[in-house]
Amino acid sequence: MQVSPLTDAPEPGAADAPDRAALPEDQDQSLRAPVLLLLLSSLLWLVAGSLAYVMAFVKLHAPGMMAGAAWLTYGRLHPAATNALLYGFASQAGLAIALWMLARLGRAPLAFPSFAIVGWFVWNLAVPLGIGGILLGDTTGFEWFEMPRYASPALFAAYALIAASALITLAKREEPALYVSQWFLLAALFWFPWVWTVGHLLLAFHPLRGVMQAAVHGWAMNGVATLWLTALSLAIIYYFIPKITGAPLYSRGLAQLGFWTFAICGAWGGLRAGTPLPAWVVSVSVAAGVSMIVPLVANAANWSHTLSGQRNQVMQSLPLQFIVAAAGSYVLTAFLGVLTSARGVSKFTGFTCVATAQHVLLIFGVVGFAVGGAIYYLVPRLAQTEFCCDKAPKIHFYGGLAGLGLATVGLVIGGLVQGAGLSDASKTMIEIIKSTKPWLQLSAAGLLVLTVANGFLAVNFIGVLVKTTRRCVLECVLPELRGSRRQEAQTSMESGLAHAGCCGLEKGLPETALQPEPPRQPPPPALKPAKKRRRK
Amino acid sequence: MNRAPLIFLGVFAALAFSWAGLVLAPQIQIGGQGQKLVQGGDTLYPARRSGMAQQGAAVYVSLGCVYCHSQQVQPREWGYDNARGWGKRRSVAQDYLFDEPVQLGARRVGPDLSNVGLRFTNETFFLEFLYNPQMHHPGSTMPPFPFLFDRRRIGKTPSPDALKLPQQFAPEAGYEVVPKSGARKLAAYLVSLQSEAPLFEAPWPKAKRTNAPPAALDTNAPPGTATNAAPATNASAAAATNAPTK
Repeated sequence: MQVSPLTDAPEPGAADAPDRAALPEDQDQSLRAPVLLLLLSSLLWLVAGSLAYVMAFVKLHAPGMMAGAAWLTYGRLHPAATNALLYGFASQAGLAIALWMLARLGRAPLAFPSFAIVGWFVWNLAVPLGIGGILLGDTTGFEWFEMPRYASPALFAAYALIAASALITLAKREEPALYVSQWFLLAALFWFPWVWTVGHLLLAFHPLRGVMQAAVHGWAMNGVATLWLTALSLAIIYYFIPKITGAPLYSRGLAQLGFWTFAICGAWGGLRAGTPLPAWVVSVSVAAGVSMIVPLVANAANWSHTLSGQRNQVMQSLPLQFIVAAAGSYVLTAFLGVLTSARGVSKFTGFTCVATAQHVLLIFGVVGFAVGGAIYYLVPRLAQTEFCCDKAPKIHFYGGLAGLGLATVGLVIGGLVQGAGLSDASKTMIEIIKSTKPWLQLSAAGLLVLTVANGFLAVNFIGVLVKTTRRCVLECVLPELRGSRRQEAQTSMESGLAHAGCCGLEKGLPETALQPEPPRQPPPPALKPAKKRRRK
Repeated sequence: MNRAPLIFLGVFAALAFSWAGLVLAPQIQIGGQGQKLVQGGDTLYPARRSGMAQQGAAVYVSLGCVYCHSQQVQPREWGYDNARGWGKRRSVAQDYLFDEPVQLGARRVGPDLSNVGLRFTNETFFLEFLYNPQMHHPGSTMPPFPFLFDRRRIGKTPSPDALKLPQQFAPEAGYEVVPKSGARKLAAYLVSLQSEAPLFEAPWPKAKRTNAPPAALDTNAPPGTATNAAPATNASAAAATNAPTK
């Protein structure tokens, strides 16, 4: 195990060490409803949104298909699908895992779980309201900020409730040291509402005049992609790599570099060279976009050093494989982002589906894999039920990897072909469309594979919830209704979970009953006691 | 890095700084823009759209045209937009003064539409195109918008507004295709998309070397005073560019 002089105690690895076994049960009880509900609805949005996204892709090449339905026209279906994926899936799943990580890292139960549950409810009213509005043509007209004026405030209110629960949990933490994931979560939880409100206020409610709307939109859309979704995913990756391997994070100093450069450069990006705005604004934004190489290298180096020598751990743990895939997707999409920010490149890729490739990588790769890994790790612990079948998660993983790979390759190469065509004025638009068609069909096929793979996760997750609920009803609710203790024992025996207790609320499952997990190395004894509280 | 309030302050500063730089500062710089004179002419630019075209902009937004069509001509020295005839000069902030919402667009599945009203000046063309793009551009992947049209039985006299469609695209005998108001508005908006007037910060390219400073060609500096006594060669064309649509 590598321990650099800069390394802190492995908070994630130590957070639910056996000696703290008493706490996680309270903690799990407070987390159970909000996290599982948020994850359930996020996975349903993932499947619905992916299907709609694939359908929009197909319509791009079969324009006559269902052309009679106004609400299914490409210009409405595509943004509706994107919004379902961004706000239905990615944001919601990210929030669920953020709640879990904040409670675990802070060694405290979730504060005000009821806030989060009400927030979940409102959130899942606001998202369909917004998507319905887009399908009916009430869009604001700004990509990723399409939600009409009657939906965006509701989403904000829902967000505020969930974030309140998260931030109070952070404030009331028992463990004073803040781990890297907590920096990213604290930042993302603050950045999203700012970006969301400024975006909607200055684009839909009190729109600025003329091209200033484009400036606001570039800033805000980049904020959602980078400061919200990417930051959430980085928190997840930083949490699970040391947590599952048991190895401490390679360098806290490097993580600080990664975090602050990410915060500063990430916030300034978003405007493409050639945008009709004052030249200096565009230049600064382009420079910031290119300098995102610094956090990219810092994060990637930190992870790869932490993971070096952990090959066995990675091979044995499916959740960790998901996390590594998310890290790889981040490296790829951030690298594409750096490249396409550069003036010379964006000249050719600026209006092509290379940008779509980045969005697909972000949603399905960075967020999708990070969330997948987190779900396979934490849901069996929270629900006290294992996921079904060894094969299903593997199909999800390899199917997802293959699908995302195909989609990315198709979109990037298709985008380059498109860019080459667009910059060659002798080619007509029809010729360009024809030359990109096979690549876009490849990516549509990839997206379909990806959707099916994600379907495996959604079905498996619902299976876990059903099993947990049934066990809960059989073991607790029914016996309580009948006043019979004997029956409780009987059904418990039948389900083979004699020690599970009522709904898993009274006693935890023995560790061995959980999803197979690589043997965790004991937390390095030298680091724990030596750690200073309130270190600056 | 163990104090949440300190991290919060840093994080707040990072975003506030970028917000001030990317939103606040340009707003102060160009937020107060108004109409100005075209270079070498006495027409104010940009002209306000007609009521029909203004309503057509809303149709454009609601159908999500922006996901395939940009409205921003790229700098001339990049070499392609000008060569495709999409615009004599690059787009600048001034062009979007009355756009609400501004639909810059980030993808070009279809052509740039900044000056589509100069390339096709006839609303009938746009109506036919919207009814079925294959009629004019076979192989196009633009979806048809049949829901913007009424397909109805011909009454006592055929509607004067009915589209005159070639056999291949025409409805069965006894029926006619009449644009609904949404289609008319959208067509009016598309015809109104003309943003080529030469401006101080975005003049037309000169055929031969002139005394115009070369730096002015690609600057997109904020509008200064527009009374630049440039050669008046383009004045009449510029005036025509801004002719209000019917």
